[in-house]
Amino acid sequence: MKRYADFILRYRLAVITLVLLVTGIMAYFAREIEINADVMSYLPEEDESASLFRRIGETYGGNEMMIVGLESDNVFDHGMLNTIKQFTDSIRATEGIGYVTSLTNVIDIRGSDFGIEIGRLIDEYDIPEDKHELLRIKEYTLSKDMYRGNLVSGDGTATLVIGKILPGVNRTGVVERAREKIESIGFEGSVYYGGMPVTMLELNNIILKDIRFIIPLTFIVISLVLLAGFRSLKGVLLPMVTVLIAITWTLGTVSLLGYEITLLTNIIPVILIAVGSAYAIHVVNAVMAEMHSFPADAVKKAVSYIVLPVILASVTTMFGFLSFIAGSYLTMIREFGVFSAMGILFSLLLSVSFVPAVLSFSGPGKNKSGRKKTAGPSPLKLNAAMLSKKLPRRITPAIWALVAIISISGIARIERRADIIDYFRDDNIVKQGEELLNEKFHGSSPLYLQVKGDVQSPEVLSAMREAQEYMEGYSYIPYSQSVADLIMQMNDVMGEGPIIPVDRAKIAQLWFLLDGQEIMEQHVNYELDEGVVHAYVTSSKLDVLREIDEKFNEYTRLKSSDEYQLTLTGVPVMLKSLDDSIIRSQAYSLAIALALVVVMTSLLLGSFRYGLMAILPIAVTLLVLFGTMGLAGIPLDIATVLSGSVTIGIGIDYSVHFISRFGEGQKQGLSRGGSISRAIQTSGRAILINMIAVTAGFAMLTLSELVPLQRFGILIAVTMLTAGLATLTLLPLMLYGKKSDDNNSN
Amino acid sequence: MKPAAVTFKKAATKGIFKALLTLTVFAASIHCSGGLKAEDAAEILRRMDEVLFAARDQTSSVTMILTDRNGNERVREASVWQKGTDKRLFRFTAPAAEAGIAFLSLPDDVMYLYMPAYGRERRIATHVKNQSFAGTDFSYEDLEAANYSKRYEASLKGMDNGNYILSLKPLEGTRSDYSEIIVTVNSEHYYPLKMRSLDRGGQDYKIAEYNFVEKDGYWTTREITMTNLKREHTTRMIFDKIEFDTGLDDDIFTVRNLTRY
Repeated sequence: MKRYADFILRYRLAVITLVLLVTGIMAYFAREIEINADVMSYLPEEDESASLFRRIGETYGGNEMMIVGLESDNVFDHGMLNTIKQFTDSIRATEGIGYVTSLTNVIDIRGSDFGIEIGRLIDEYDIPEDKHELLRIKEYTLSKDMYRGNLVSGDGTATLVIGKILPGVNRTGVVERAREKIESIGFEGSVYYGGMPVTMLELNNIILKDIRFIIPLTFIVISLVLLAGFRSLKGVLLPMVTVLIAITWTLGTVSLLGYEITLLTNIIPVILIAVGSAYAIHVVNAVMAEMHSFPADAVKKAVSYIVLPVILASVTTMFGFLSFIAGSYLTMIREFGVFSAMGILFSLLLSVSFVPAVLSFSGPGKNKSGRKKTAGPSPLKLNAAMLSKKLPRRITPAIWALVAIISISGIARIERRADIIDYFRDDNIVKQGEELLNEKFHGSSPLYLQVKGDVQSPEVLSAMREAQEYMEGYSYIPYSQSVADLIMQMNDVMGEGPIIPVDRAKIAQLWFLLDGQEIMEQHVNYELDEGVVHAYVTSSKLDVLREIDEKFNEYTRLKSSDEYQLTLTGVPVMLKSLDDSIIRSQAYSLAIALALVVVMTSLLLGSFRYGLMAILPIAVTLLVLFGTMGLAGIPLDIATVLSGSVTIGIGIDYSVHFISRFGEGQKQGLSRGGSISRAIQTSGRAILINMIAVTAGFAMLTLSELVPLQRFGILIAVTMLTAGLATLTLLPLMLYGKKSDDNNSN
Repeated sequence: MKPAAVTFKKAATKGIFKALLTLTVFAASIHCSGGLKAEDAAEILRRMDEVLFAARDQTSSVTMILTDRNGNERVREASVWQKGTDKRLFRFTAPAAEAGIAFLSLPDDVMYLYMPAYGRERRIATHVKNQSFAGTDFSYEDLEAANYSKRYEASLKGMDNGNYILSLKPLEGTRSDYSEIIVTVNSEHYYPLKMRSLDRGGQDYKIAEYNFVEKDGYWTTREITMTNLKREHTTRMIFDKIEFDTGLDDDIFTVRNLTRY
């Protein structure tokens, strides 16, 4: 390590120049970074169900629907129908919108004694004013499955205007333009928004907001905490500059490798500010402690003992993040793991090269505060000492045991959530739109049944219909639609009843009438060898989704034949896979992270016993983490699932630094008690400051509009406090051991 | 000095060009305001109607080639009989599964559909003219054999290569899916060359390009290519075996004849 310190000092100018040069290049690339809010793209490509879901959404237009909901006392009112027409026209006139479906322009085909009447449900040029006529229209509309629950709610108080966005255009841009137009219409009722493009636009805006607002705020808050802790500008500036450089490098790399910012990688800067700053802080702290000599000497001395624990701490944190690669279903979780680890690596590299290189240029002994704090009795020191030694020795373990028991009781209560809609706060338009769709319409989670086979054959159409009846027999699936329904309706109109004709020629001729209708593009492909049954699930409860997945997959397996093959996919299926992966990720990543931490700390501290000791505070913290989730009703979701491994990664820093300081003391011939006091005075102080800084930093995530990030912020804040306190109270006790041990070793 | 001279020359050329342009525009505007007024626009449209509906009757066979945005093609064939502006029989002949399907249009928006597999006709009341006809990019409105001058108000927008450019806007009471149709009319024979339809939001919606030929003293459509810009879908209608004034019997345009297949 001394040779390394010499090396850094000799090439300090080159190190600084190189860092600044790389930062300039990376900043250039980081500027080009783009946001990817397309939730579909987070699904893994290799998963068959996910790729089928994505393909069906793209081929049959399901992902391109912009849904606008209008709610008032009564939809079937002259003024209200005029408003619906205005909404319809505004959306239709938006560039990028292909066609619009609403009550005022939907086609109505009915068979009558007269023949076939092809008309509009409501004449948009002549919207009726007569009450009786309006009532007749209402009754007719609500009597038809095609409209009730699809275009108008069963109680006649809400209606939907659905715009199909053209392929190949910027979907979020279209939604923005349409919303602007809609909002200029004076409508007194409530307006809701739904559909994948709307969700994407919202996520995009939230991610941008988080980047512009939360990241700078975290930066300021942590800087203030550090300033209060170190009372030295240098102690704050250098770590924060280091973190900024690390963030630039990370974002530059993300951009350079062709990746985009997702709703998870969006928090990497916050993590780096909170966690990555610690490495630089430890180095600055150590150098300051040695500042009574010349800067170069102080740097050399400090670097020689601080680099190893900093490397060990950051490598364990990196493994904590890398452990997400195993078992994660969403590609964005994997990306988050890899890029966070990369950011940590950059922070580490900078902390052990750039930071000492810069410090070596600072004047000798100027930093009074640094010296004062390590030498004199600081309040921090007293606090720490009280926590560990002055409390009766049995009380500390007793308190932690109690905390552990309470936590364990909470663990069983942990809920799981996988639904995308839970990402949004209750006041978010996407969430409100979702609620409207679930309460008053046929639901918002699409379920697709792909049917491969000749869609014009009576057998395939009958199989579709049969599958639909099976689906609709399930209480959470109120409605389904396919080309078979259209054929049945047309057959009825031709006077032969609502059934699938057994004569293939009849089907072909009915088809001729439907050909070219926009709705056909949502049901069958051009080659006519694939069709899709569209259904919706009104529940996002995991046990419901699991049952649907199991029952329907069994059904499709049994029913598929040589003539046609059925495959189920859709949001419920994705959510089930996502939930499975969340549990799997949690188990894998915790096991991997814990095992790695034991190995690393054992190696660092040269003792397996110390390694085990080091993870005790972490183990307690994990109990508190999961206990908090259970007791506070915070579910395991795509973000909170990360908190366990992040806790291990960050929490281990505390143990490693504390134990290594203790070991340092032992090497210097101090007694156990003396070594512990020394560790508390030096590492303890750094731990406390870091604990407060990280807690405050992650607490800023509660300001995010994405619920999982809020929860993640709260959890990490709670666990960092726990980890810090557990390290400062439990480790001294364990390291001190029984009185007899201490006597013997002395 | 040389470069300055060049610059001067360029500026001069530019100036001359500008002056010429102004003159042309001026001349054109005189031409418009003096030679061709609003009533002339109506006259041009009336003459176009005359060309479109000149023959007493007409029979032809038509091939429809439908192309979607991925380049997939589908071909349909039909025979067409038309008498005057309000009687028309459209009978599909290919592909085999669709052969025999027929539409009979009679005066006052009366329309019958016949499907041989069902063996009987059904009367269709279509209040919605913007529906695609037989999967093509033509709507019932596009195929309507009704005079444009009765449904649209024309104004002259200018000239293009010596042809008139008219802007047609639906008259009060006309139900159209289009807010405007911009039609290029051949100034010599008054047949349409191109129609660009705008949707009710004022955006480009459909473009039809016409190929007219002279046959038996009539200017008649040989081919129409209709593109629906929103659907990114194109239909080519190619007319063949065209015959005029063969004295088609009214019996052809009856329900009895419709079901005789």
